[in-house]
Amino acid sequence: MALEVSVDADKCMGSGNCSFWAPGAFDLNDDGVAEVVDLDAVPEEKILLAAQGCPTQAITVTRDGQRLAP
Amino acid sequence: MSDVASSAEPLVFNPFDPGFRSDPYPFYNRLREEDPGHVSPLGFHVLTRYDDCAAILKHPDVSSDQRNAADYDRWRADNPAAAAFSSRIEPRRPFLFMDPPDHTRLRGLVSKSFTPKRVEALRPRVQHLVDELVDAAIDRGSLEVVEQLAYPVPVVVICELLGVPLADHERFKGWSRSLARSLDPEIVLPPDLQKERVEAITSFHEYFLDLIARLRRDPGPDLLSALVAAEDAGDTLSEDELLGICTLLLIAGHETTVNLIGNGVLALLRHPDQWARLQADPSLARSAVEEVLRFDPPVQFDGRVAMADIELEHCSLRAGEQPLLILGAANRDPRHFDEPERFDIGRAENHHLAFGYGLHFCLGAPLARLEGQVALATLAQRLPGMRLVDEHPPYKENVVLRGLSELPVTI
Ligand code: HEM
Ligand code: SF4
Repeated sequence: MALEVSVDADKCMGSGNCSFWAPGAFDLNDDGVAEVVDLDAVPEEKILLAAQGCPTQAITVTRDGQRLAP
Repeated sequence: MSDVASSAEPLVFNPFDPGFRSDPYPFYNRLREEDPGHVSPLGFHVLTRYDDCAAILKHPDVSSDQRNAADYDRWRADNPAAAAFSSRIEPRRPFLFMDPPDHTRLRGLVSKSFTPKRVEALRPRVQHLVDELVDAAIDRGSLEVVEQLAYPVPVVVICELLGVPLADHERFKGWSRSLARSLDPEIVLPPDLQKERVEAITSFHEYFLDLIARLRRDPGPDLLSALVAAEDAGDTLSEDELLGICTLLLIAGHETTVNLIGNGVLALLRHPDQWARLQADPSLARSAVEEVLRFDPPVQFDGRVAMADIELEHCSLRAGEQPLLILGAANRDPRHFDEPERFDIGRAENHHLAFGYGLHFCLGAPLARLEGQVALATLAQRLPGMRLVDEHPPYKENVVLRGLSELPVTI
């Protein structure tokens, strides 16, 4: 099963941390808020690393309903 | 390990030793491998392993506000003049040294205008600037990389982005340099430099108060005008906070990227095979910049105050302690990087800590990268014959920021 990833726009403070650790998977939009762009752009570990490094725990990662981050 | 310096010498952390400045890495390697929970002669922990540095940077119980340090009151008592000045400019504290929720609010305001897209739109402008500087070097027949390329590019860009008229730039070049030096710990700053810093900060604030007033009357498309509008729109941003942001951006934009470009040219010219690789394949500029950031990071040290007792694998921090994180050492941790001593501009999976990690992750990272990529790629294409004049060029005296004071090359 593929990862399911979402960003809580209210929590995101636009650090750019996720787009640094998983470029292509996340990007900041014009409001400086992170969005999921393409989960296939990077290996899964990078997405987990990005989510774990999110300063506001705005990124939720699940697989098969099981929460992997935060 | 062959890259570990002779173990006969005692491990004493003294970043002010000139020999250390020219090549701190053998010493970092020893610290990281022999004494990962090192305690400096001044009593603070020195962390050099990647996992320990990253753990602190993302730890929920740390603060970026030095006033939380256990020895802050003692510092105030010992340095009454500096302490009085600090208190006076307290409302203008930049968010780099703040914690949530103030940090979140202020950084959020700025990052709205500092998105990767907005930065990427600057690429043609940056390319044009670099081309002009390279044209001038070709006309002259010589190039001093720091003063004639690495410095002007980020300065022009950050001034344009902020809305600072370039004509004003000469006025604050000196202020910016004294402030860069003042990132170094108070204890190492002689009194005349402390005084210089007070004057520099004061001059900056006066300058920006004036500029803000001008932009309020006559706003432009720049970041500062947008922030002034935000200030006017409500109580989300005070004028003091705005001043703190201006000073932070200007200094961060001035004194860091110059070192990325300088350190990058030096590393490339010292590794002719990598220099040839970049010439043959300009698309390597992206990973080359990441490798320079890993191999010789412009910001060497980071720090936090522990707000609770924190147990790391190799040391126990007590609440109120201020561990020093050596990013340049973490970036060569063999537990995270294959052959860390090798400078490899095509390195994949390069998760260096040169921009920090977590909450305070560098706001200017996309801009610094863009400038670094354009500068290094253009030099490789247009000045492939570049050679070092001096194999061991001199470094600036700064301790936190690592960069060359000059880098003359033949073209
Ligand atoms: C190669 C160049 C650069 C390097 C190596 C660098 C490095 C860093 C590092 C390590 C931090 C984290 C500090 C901490 O953890 O306390 C940081 C924060 C910051 N940087 Fe950079 N930086 C660079 C360029 C820039 C540029 C060009 C700008 C702005 C135009 C900038 C603006 C900032 C700001 C505003 C912060 C504070 C972020 C916060 O506290 O949330 N930096 N930088
Ligand atoms: S790391 Fe978290 S806070 Fe930072 S941009 Fe990504 S989602 Fe937003």
